[in-house]
Amino acid sequence: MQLGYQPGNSFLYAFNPLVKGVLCLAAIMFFSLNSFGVALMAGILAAMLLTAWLGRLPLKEILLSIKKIAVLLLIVSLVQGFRGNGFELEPAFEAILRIVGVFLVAGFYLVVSPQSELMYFWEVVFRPLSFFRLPARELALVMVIAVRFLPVMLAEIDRIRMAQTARGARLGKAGIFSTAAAIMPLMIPTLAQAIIRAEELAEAMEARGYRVAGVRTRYQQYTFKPADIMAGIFAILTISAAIYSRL
Amino acid sequence: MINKLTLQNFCVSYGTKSVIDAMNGEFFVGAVNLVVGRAGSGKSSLLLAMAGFHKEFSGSIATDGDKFIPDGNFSLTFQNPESLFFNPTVGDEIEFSLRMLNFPASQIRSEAENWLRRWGLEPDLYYHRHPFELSGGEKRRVALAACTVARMPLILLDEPLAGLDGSGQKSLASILESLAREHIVVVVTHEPEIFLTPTSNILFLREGQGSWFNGNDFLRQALTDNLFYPLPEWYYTAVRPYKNEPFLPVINAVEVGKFLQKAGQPCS
Repeated sequence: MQLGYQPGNSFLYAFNPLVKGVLCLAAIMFFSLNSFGVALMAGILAAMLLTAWLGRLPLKEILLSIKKIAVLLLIVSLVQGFRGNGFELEPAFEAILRIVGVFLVAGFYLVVSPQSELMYFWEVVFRPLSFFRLPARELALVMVIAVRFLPVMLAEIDRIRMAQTARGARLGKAGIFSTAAAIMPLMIPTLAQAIIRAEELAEAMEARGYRVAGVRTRYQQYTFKPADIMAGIFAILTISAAIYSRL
Repeated sequence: MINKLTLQNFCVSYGTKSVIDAMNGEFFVGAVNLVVGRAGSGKSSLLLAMAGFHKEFSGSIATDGDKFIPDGNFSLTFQNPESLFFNPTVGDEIEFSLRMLNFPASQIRSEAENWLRRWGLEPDLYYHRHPFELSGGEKRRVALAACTVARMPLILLDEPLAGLDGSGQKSLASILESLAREHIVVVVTHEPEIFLTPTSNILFLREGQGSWFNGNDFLRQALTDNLFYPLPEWYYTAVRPYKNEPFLPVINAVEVGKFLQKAGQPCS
């Protein structure tokens, strides 16, 4: 099961798309930068999960998707855990918490944001670039397509893995090093497929009237409500706290 | 070599929905094993469960008494041949299985070329082409060649006839017949008449239940009761006069087709 937008009507869905994006970036920065230690970070992660539960997000699906980064978590925890005097549990666990935190935040954001909202957010983020005559809307579209196609690429990796297993490859039963080595043959076909898909997508968009220099209007109009302002302040405080903890 | 594959109390489900319910029976070496049934009867799910891709199943699969573990000992062609492709050339697709089985490197190329030729694709024309550039029928042939080149003990094929022209269907029937002499070949199909022989082993799936037939009994049942399994009209017309004979004379569609062509009758 790949994560993607799932319709809902809880308070998490009701935020302005700009606020959703800022909250997501703030949370990612928080998990990347903070030095609050394992206990506090675990507590914050738990609070985040509680919020997601209250917001009626499909928590089970999101948590199960962590399986996809299990190998990454293992490698990072080993790299972080081994210090001069042997293996230490705390830095290893801290590294896991940071990655899981970022992964979950990204998952929540994808679940509550339809493509049109993602597009709007990135457009606003890139808007300053238009002062330098750079194609802000097109850059936003590139970002949205990249995010939108991540689940597709993960599905593609699953498909290639199945195709290899269906012809005698033994990918799943090997040890950690063999598993890591088995990922490499997946990379080139996946990249090749991504390029083929990009060509097909470009043709499909042009077939429906998309032109790079075309003037476009916006169908959805977004407004700011008091809850959005509160959430925006919360996001700024979160980033400030993370930066402050580093000072 | 695996001689038989025994399903015991085999159930397949999707969540709370049961697709196949407590099925028992055997697939074996010696004849092509056919799985037939209406769309949605669980044919493809059965193959995916046997291959270990669909995890929601219970019961057991045993090979000659031992538990069967699908791990480098089977091949499976999917309904959509494109699902199987991930290499830049047809040659790489065919060679993949051989490499996985540590086939001698010096022989891989020649073996792959010979096998591709066997499936009606000339290596000089196809070996270096991208699989996605091919026509539907050519893709199907490449997928079938890629999945059978290593002659795994268990060969699973999901609707392999789709997209194949007449000569492709004949090649497929002939190659599978020869593979079935030493391998367990299981074919999910809506056109069993292409593969039928009196000794064919047929699993008929309906409403979650599996019934097992040999070719003779299956055909007789289909000739008697059109609701049981609708045969193509021309095939039905050709074989119907023999339905009360103890053994049906020729029941392979390719042979029946040849007979009708000789007799000057249409067989479309």
